[in-house]
Amino acid sequence: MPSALLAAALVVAVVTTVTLGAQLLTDRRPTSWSAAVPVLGGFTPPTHAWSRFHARWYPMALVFIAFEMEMMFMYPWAVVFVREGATAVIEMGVFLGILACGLLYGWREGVFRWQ
Amino acid sequence: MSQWRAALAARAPVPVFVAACVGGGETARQLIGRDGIEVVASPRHASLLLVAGGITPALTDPLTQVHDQLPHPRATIWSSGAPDEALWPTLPSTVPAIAADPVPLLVERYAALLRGDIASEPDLLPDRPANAWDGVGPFGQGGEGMMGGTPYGRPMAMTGADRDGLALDQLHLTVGPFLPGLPVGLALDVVLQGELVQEVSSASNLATAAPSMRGAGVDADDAVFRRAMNEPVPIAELERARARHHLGALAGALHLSGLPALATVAARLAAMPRPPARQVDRLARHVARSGLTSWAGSGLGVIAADEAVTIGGPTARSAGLPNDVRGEDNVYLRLGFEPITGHMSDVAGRWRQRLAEVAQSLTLAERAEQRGANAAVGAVGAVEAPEGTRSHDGDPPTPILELLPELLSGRDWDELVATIASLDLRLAVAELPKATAWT
Repeated sequence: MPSALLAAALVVAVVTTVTLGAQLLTDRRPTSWSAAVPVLGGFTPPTHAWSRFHARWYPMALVFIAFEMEMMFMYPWAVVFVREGATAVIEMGVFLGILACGLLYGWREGVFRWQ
Repeated sequence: MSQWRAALAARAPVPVFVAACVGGGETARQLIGRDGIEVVASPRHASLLLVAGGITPALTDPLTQVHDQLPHPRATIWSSGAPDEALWPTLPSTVPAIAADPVPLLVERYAALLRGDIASEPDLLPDRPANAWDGVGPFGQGGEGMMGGTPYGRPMAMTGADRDGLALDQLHLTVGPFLPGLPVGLALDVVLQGELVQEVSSASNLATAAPSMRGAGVDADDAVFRRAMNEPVPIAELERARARHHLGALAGALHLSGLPALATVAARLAAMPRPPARQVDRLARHVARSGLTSWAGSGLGVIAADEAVTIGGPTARSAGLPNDVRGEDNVYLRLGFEPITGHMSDVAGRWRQRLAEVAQSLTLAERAEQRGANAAVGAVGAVEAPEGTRSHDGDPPTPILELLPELLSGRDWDELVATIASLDLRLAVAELPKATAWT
């Protein structure tokens, strides 16, 4: 217990020293308003860029379900497959293959494109 | 302690942001791959602002904005000579002499800046927000209304139609002349949603006036083509200048694509007076493997043949049109010249075309030298410059400016930049009056 406290104190001390020491090495000046303009190549933007983005709930839900179901089945499988042998590995391989097909479909449908 | 720190920092590559003004379009590419220099993509990463070429009144305000966006410590280098004081009132009293090669000056100024021998340049624009906001409004947040007026000096963006029936924020911006990847003087009015450019509402050329500067400002390779319009020029010299121009453009495009090693190879080949054909072939193979001439650029920025015919040059030839003034010159035909044509003018097709023309130019140059010592080109009044045909009787304004909005709308930002890089846009050259004294 005391060694854990000591370790924690040591980490805190190192982090604090490095952070404060870095401040001494910087030549930072406060940013002026003209410097804080977003870089557009010469002109200033007329509006803010605090934009909302389309969260794409449905594709995200589908991808989540795909990976989540995979994970749900792999948790109990991971506990017993060593005992069960190659059969279990092959069965899980088939299951993952089916899920991979679904993932490939989603990929081709543009589910993973940010836009 | 701080002297030791400054000396250590000065050994790092100098981060330079190149602001390309009239006559300085090639400077950024020439600095790619030079030892001790790092050409950065944003003024925020730079310590030195290299103003290449001459500024015009329309370029002055954007340049002052870019200057203020460099973090301290910063300095400005005028590579083509200092501008008139009317345009740049805060010119420092001592401006270093112009040298053909800016690299030693850049390295020396960077070291002096870090040591503190030169003071960091102060802001040129006033230190205040675009609109008064602090304390305005019922809660002091910037104003009244749903969006709160102008919080932190700017209004909130309005919405526009997005997919799935949503209406999300649209940014109406002017992407200015001093962005890497844009040709000299080009400003685009874009409507952005995320990184999707929904619409390019207009493209304008800010480099239409003759530049005001006291130094020389035209790049040497272009001078060859200007000379060739008036007097016979040896074919070998002309074709090698053409090859170097295309290689330089390729270096810039590779640098933008995030392939700095290939960009350095291309830039070094472009700097050689006689680029060896074998190394150019090897570069072409590496570029093909990178995808620029195949999957990464196919179907992107397609220009149809009937539009390409007005643009001319490699763009038209990649669309399948064998328009080349050299094909009407007997001297060229005797050297075995045949216009190279492609199938489709997309980004991949244009780069394939330009790389093939580089190889062709180097072959022609070698043959011309072997045949008759410096077989000359007849002064026919029209010369096939790298971007297209140039002739004496009325240079038509480049029609690409009208094509750009349609070509670039609906694209992602990276696709837009890649498309522009594949087109050889030389707006400043085309729009300048012919009798320009600063040549």
